Amino acid sequence: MELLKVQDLSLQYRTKSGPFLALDRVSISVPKGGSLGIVGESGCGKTTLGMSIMGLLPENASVVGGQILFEGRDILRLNPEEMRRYRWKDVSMVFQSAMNSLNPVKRVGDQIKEVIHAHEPAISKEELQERVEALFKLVNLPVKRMRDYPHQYSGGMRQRAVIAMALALNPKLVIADEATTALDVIVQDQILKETKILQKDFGLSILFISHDIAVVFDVCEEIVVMYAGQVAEVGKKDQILKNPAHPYTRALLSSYPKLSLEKERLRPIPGDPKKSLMFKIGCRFVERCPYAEKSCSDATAQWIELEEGHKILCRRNLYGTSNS
Amino acid sequence: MERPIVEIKDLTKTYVTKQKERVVALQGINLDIKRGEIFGLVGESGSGKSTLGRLILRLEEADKGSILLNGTDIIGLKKKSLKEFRREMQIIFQDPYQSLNPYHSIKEILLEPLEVHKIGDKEKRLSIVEETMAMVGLLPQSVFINAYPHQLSGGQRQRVAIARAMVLRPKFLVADEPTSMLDASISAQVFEILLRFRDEFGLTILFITHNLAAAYYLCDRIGVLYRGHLVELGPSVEILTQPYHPYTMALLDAIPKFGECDILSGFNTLQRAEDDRYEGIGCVFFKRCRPAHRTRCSHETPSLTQVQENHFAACFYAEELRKRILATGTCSLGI
Repeated sequence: MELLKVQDLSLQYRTKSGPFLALDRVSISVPKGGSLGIVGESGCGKTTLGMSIMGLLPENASVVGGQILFEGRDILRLNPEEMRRYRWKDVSMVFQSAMNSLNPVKRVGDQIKEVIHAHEPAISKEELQERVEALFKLVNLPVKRMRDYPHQYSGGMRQRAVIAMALALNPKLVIADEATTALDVIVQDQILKETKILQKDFGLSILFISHDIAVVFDVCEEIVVMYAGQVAEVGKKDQILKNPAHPYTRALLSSYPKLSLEKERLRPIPGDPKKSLMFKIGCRFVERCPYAEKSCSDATAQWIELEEGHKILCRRNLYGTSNS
Repeated sequence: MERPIVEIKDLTKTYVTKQKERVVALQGINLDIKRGEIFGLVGESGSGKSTLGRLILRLEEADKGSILLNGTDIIGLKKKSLKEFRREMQIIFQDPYQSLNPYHSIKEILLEPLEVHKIGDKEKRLSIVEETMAMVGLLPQSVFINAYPHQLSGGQRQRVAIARAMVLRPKFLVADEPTSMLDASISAQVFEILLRFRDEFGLTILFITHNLAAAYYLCDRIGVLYRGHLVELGPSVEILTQPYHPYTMALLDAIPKFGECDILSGFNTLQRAEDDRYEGIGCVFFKRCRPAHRTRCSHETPSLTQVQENHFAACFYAEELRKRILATGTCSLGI
């Protein structure tokens, strides 16, 4: 069963230059205990999607269609008190910049205690201490560093502290938005491994958002490729790696340096993704797409199901063709 | 054999923190960069890779050692000759949002280096700027030339930064993490531009990165830095497929892998250390090295030693580890 199901979510930002459609009928689902990865270039709407699931949208954003169902409940209809209980207890989020999500003038341990205390005011001091110690151990932070301030931590330790905070109330779903992007490769690897262990041992579901396709494919079993506010391709990791069928997915995969002995020249995607965000009829990738034909600009594509669970939104179906 | 464009000998740099602690940023680095090659310097943050780039350009002063550019030691250069030399060497930085003056138009940004170095007349300078803009793909020039940095995307800004470095037609470019803030599709565009400058103009590039996959793609040779020490140096393909130093192996283990992947991993050479500070005695990697020898590695400091024709590693047990990997596919056992 799905833990989270986003259905045809459309979201608009009001900007000085008029309304701007940041999400256009986006549908994703995260199974209980599963891991879903969202990849796409900056500006494709992946963070907006994460923020709308958390109910943390800015003032100028409004949902213009669709639903966000968490355990069958539409969270867009929650009242503020229900939302407060849902957020952090059911779903929590780890942001890219760990320094900005920690309070610099409070001890790290105390900050995590605060999160727990806010949701469980009756908790005793001793139990609170025990809970935070357990969290520190869980994310491989030395317990004696609870009394330190964020600036005394290294980048990797801060990121671990933020993960500990996200896990403080045993949420069912953690949204990791570029959670390891700013980290060195060895620290990143340790945190990704720990994440996989948490997922396995505690049945945690993970929504992993990143522009780094290598990381997303490393962590997640199910992949969603987003482009300019739309979902372009959905599938299992192996389906997408073996048979990428949307021209954008192909372009994304061939713009990333491979670790194979035969060095292939990278193929950069020409053009500017930001231009694709202007609302228009037809496919949003059309100007950068080497496979585009006239009909692509005329009308929006329909979803094509290629295999079970593997779908694309494209008129030019590249499924099974060679990548050249 | 042609003389290398950059020759670095015994380069050492130490910083002193506010708490009067001495931090060794670089320790006794010996390194040559050949004319027309792309040399990759890989390491984690704090490994000293950016410091090395900055020392070569004399944006900072070394404590000890020499840096020869085209045979001239640049460390003693005074103001006027330093300026001459700066024409030959340029740098591009990681963050294209911070390295361009927001109040200057692209035209002003690109003209400035030419004006500083008094190159040509007004007309000549403008034609160099337009030519360079074409080389980095800022086309059509008329659209970009009067724009300001905030009107451009991250990828376009990085192109402006490359163009600014290239208007002087330098011989040597330091590229310090130029793509780590960019999306993959945009990084690939920047890689293409750098490769083209190398192939068409014989530009030599020092490419500083924490991304081994990017270094593998772009570079002819790779040097691996750990806490200011050069621990391994060799042709890119050998570094990724025949690593000799346990730290390089740890880096290879940690690269996220997907799809086609021919590099080895699963070396398991890294161990957790509560306190991994280096006290200046023994191997710099000792505390985090699983296969380390308890007495020798903690007392003696290994130096870079040849392991293959153009391949060097600073580990007493490099050959031994290599043999063990070939025999068992792993080297997680202690020595």
